[in-house]
Amino acid sequence: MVTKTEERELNQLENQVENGGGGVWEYLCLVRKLKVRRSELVLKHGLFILNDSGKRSALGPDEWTLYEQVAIAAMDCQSLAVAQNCIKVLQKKFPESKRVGKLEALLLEAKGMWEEAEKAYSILLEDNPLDQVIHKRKVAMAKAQGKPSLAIEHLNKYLEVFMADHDAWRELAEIYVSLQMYKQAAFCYEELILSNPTLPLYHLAYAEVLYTIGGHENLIAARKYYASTIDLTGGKSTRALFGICLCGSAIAQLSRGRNKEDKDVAAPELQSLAASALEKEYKQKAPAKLSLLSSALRSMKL
Amino acid sequence: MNYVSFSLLYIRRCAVCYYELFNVINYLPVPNSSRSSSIILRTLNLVGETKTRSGFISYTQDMNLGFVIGVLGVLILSHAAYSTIQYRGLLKITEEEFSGPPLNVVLELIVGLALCMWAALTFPGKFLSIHPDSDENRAVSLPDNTDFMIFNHRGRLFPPEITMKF
Repeated sequence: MVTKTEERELNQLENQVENGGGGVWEYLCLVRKLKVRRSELVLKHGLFILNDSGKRSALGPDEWTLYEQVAIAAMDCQSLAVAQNCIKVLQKKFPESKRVGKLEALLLEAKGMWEEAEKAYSILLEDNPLDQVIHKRKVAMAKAQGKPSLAIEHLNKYLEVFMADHDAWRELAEIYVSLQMYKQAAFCYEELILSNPTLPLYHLAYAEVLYTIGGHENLIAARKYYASTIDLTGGKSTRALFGICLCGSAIAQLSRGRNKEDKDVAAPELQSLAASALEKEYKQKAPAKLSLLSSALRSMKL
Repeated sequence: MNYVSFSLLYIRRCAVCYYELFNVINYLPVPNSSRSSSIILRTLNLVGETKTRSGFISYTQDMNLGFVIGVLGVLILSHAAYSTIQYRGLLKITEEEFSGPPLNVVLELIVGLALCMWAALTFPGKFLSIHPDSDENRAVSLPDNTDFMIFNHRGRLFPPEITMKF
């Protein structure tokens, strides 16, 4: 996960690197550490280091990590020739390495040669049938070929063995959401919240899935999870504040026809609190858009 | 008698403290090669040479000051222990009853305690926030799931214009 300070540091370094202020290697390290996908920049600046033999040798053994990073970034940018050359260098240095073997299979994937890639992965799997990365690549391949149901099948099989892998749970949740299978996605997000109860982003995603499913009970649960997101972020999550407002108005609409016993007690207060927090934030950060916000809030309250 | 043994214990505690402090210095990551000697030199000269490179602990003037104050506190504590022993000896010679520690020892103990505490709080480094909503702990985005990365995305149609070859 990327915290606020880390994000700030990353943006600052990115600015510095883009304006030619140095710190390229630090930037590449940070990108690797935070696992963010900045392929274009990594390719551009990584190649700059790799083409300069003095800078390259100054890295010492980290040089090979950089080759790997640049190769993957090149595949993501469709610069397959660059990726090929990087992998060739790695192959020469580390013949018979599994890691390089994975990179080669990844290159086959980038070229769209699915059958060959599949074959390469199954050869790698024979040596180590519990290699998590390869199993995940199989899922990604199914997804890339536009077969989400196959990807789900693979992922479910994978998660039966590696239940604690929350990245895989997240991927499964995202695939389910993209297929509009919200109940299944909600289950995945429940697993994610269990594995990482202090991460507000999972609470937020779960609340959003519940809100999308709709229905009185789901809406109330969604509002609870939006509230817990606000609790965990100290009120700095604008999305959750909007969510509270939306939930509030949706619940009010649903319970309009019902008798008074069912009526929601917390609703008006919570909604107005969230609205005032939003207004305050907009006033501070984007005063020009305050009128848009207030008209949106007015329409929500009905 | 037990007051003497108490002060002896105190001296031993002080020695342990010294030892620990030096251990701490030796284990701290220092950017340049001349590890402990450089920090002691810097401490004694009070030259606040700040190296703010990410990943390393940066030694600021504040921390150097903390170290000096810690040494001072330990010295005062040892002096308190020494005065106690001396006072006991004096009592034996004058054959008086022991009623309580002398005022200067008590004062020294209090001052030493305060200084040592201050040094212990400032020297080892900065405190990290434990609040989930502080900037250091609040997650704003999840890492991109690079294990599931796919390459035939829409960016494929507009490859970046990177002319550099490898």
